[in-house]
Parts: sequence; structure tokens; C-alpha cells
Amino acid sequence: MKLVICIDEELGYSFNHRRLSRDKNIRLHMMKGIRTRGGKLFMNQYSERSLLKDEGVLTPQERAERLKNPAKPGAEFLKDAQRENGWAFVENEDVTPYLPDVDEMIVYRWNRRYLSDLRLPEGVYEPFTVQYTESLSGSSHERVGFVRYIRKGAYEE
Amino acid sequence: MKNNRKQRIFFACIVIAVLAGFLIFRASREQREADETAASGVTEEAVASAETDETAASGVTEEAVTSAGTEETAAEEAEEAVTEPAQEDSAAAESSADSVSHEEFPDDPPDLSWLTEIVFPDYTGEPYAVMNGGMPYFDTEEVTPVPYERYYPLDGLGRCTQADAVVGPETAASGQRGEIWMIKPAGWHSDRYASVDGEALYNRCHLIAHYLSDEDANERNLVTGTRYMNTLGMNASENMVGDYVKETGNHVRYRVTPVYQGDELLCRGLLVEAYSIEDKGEEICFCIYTYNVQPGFVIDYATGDNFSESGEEKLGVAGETRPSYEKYLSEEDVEGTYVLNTKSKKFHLPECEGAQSISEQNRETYTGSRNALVEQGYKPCGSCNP
Repeated sequence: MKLVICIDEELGYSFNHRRLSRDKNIRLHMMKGIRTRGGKLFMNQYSERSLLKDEGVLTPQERAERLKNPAKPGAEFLKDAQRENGWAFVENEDVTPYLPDVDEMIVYRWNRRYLSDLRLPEGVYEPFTVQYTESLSGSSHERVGFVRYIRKGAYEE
Repeated sequence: MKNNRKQRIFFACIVIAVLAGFLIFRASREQREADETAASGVTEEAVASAETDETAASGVTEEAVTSAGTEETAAEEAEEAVTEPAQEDSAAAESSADSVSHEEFPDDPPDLSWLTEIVFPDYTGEPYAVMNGGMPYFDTEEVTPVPYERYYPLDGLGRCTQADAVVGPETAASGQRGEIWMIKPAGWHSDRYASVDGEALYNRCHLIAHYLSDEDANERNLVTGTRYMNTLGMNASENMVGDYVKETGNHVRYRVTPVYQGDELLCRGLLVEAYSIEDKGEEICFCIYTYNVQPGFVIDYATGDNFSESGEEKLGVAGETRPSYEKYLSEEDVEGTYVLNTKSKKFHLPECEGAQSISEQNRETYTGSRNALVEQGYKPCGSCNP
């Protein structure tokens, strides 16, 4: 499976069952990247509700599809992403148990520290190599780091 | 005859060309002036209406909100046993700050009876603890997206009691933070240690951050807080709220209450509650208690005295020997009449454009020593240079 996640300086990504921050430009970037790469995007109801509110982030077809088959609450989507080797957009569920199955990680780094009670574990990047990095301009965040990690040996012939 | 006619046509063409050139020049100048006005974040209309209309929030542009948040993060990082004088704000930024105020300074203390029933957990190594299951103690059903900033009076020991606000784009900072060095919160010590991030053990810690409230030297909004609490507890909370406001333009009820034990001058921690109003807490909803501790240091909360557990020596008292206002003093003191902005702590010549746009509640006329004014923390306006 492939993971998409936004983290702060302390590897945090959620506090009190909520995302730490959001930025429309980053969501546009995320959706564009997933469309280009292909594959199904999984998320829970909390994330989907927010994406649907962000005007222009989803195409009319994506929007219609999501309204027709709405996401479920909770962490069930992680199992679906695992089973279908799709993309999992994680904002407020504990992703740690699924990390051994992650072959690729798209990480957006907020350039600051927030409150957090869900964090990626220390050493999370060790089994991965950095494939690509970029500094992005957010709509409300001046700079947001973008890093694509690939699990070592994951895509070798 | 034919030649005369040709000459007349020729001259007419020249006159039309000159006239057209003049019109184009004038239009371009008007456009440039309009752009500059817009960039300043204050339209003439906004300035005019701000005098009478508390809801003229348009004085603060989205751009100003965005940049203010960024600047404050850096400013907070640098905060501050000694704060260097801030950069000159533009007159436009000041006008923007002046246009609307949501501040309230009640005479009566806040009702804190609810606080006495709360058991605050001891510090166990994390900079903050979640309280009340993450739900604020205030009634989240009652909140409305009408901005206000309420700073309650200091208690009998000179301690901050509470700051309570609905923050949004209207309350956000319109420029850089002003100086706050002149405030000595209860228990203040300018102690510095090499091992502390930024060296200063204590910061003048805003209850409601400057970039959420545009508050500077407000004694009701500043407590003596450790560097650890200021960065890991308070800045983290403020970043969350500030970024949400910037991204959405929505409002957040934000309340910060210092928690004291008996008559101690330093608070043991701050109770921070936040709730996003328009989306009914879907994005922002938390309640934390952040600890006024500094790992590796022992603090006497009764006085603010402190020492390092490892025996590390203090670097010495700072801030008292090199006042940051020094550069604004004139060599020979002069007497004059100045218009003061009591909020931004700037002073202007009476004829200065910046002075004209100060709202009634923040304006004061002063006649007397210029240097005395500077020593009170006032900075000269960068435009009229009084």
C-alpha cells in the first residue's frame, strides 16, 4: 500500500481525533499526484467530508463518485488500501500497525510544531529511501515540504 | 489653402496625441495609487468607517493575516528576555491595526469557580496534558462567531487572571509585534542559561498570541512562562488556531487561564481551550494544560527564583542594562505635542497622516518631553519621524 500523510516537526499528524492543519494547495497537489500516478485513493469519512468541502480539489467525477459511495468512519479504509494496494490518506487514525506494508510514502511536512497525540514512530524512515523532495507554497502555509519515500528494494525487478 | 488645411489637420493630430498621452498617464497613475492603497490593506472607505463601525473588519487583508502569522512564529522563537526594537511598521500597517479594536478590559475579575474543581495532573515529561477529554470547559453551544478579546484585570498580587477571545481574521495581527520588554509580569526574572534554547529561562508569554490578537504590551495578557512552556505548549496551540484562521477565515473561541497554587507569583501552568465555531469544533477542539516547567531546572513558584539541577551558572541578568529603546532617544530632549497610539505604542506629529487614522479609543494627545515618551516604551512613527 501507499501512504499519504501530513506531519509536523515532531512527526505528529493528529490531535484529539483531528488533523493538525490543512492547506488547499497541498490537497490540490496531492490529488494531482495521485491522478498522475494512478490507483485508488482510500480515506475515512472525516477526511472525505473535508475534501468535499474544498472547492476544486476533487474533479466533478471524483466528487460524484464519492457522494455515491461515501467513505466509512474509522480506520477500516486502511485495511481496504492494504488489500487493494491503493493509496491511504491518513489524517486521524493510527497508521503504525500498517507501516510494515507501506511500500511508498508521500509525506507533506508542515514547517512548524502543533499539538499532537498521534505521531509516526521514531525511525519510521529507516526502511525507506528518499526518491524526490520539493518545497511547495501552501495557500495558508508559506512553505510545505514534500518528500516521496520508497521502501528499499520495493520496486526492484 | 490646401496647405493651410493640411497644417490644421497636422496640428489637430498633435493635440489629440498629446491629450491621449496625458489621459493614459493619468489613468496609469490612478491605477498605481489604487494598487498601493489596496496593498496597504486599508481602503479609504475602511479607514473612514472604522471610526464609527466596529465591524469594519476589512482593514485587515488576508495577506496581512498570512504574513503576520509567519512573522510571529519567528518572533516567538526569538522571544525574549531582551527584545530588539521591531522593524518600523509601515504607516499603512499601523492604520490597519487602528481601524478596528475588539479589546475589552473588564473591571471585574473572571468567574473562576469552575477552575477550583479541576484536578491538574502532575508533570510527567510531556509538555502538556489533555484535560476534560479534549473538550473545552466553556459551553460550546453558546459560542458565536463575533470577535472579541477580553482581558481580565490582574489580581491583588499583580497576576494575570484570564484572557478570553473569539479570534478570527478581524483580530489577527496587521503587522509585526511591538515591544513588550517594559512589562514585568508577576515573578519576572531575566535569568539566562547557556543550555536553554534562546538562553532566557523565562519568556513574557502571551496568553493570547500577538498574531491571533494583535496584542503587544498588554500586562493583562503576559505571564512569566518558561521557554519550554512557551514553545512546546503555547506556540503549538497558537499555530494550530492561527493556521486554521488563515486557511478558512473562520473563528475560534480561545480562552487561556493561568493556574496558580495559593499566593505563588508564577503560574504552575496554563489551561488552554479552543473551539472552532463555524464548523462546530470539527477542525479545532482541544483543552490542554501546559506545564510551566523547564526540564533540568528547579523553580520556586512563589518568587520565580530558579536554579539549574546540574549546577549550571546563570549567564547574568540581561535586558536591564541595554534598554532597547535607547536608539529612539534624542541627544537633546525636546518638548512637543505628539499624538499617541496607545495600542501600537507609537507617537506621531499631529499633522502626520498616520495620526489622522488612529481610532478614538487608541488616540491620546501628549505634550511634554519626547525622551520621557520614549522611555515609556513609545516609538517614533517611521513616516513623520517626530
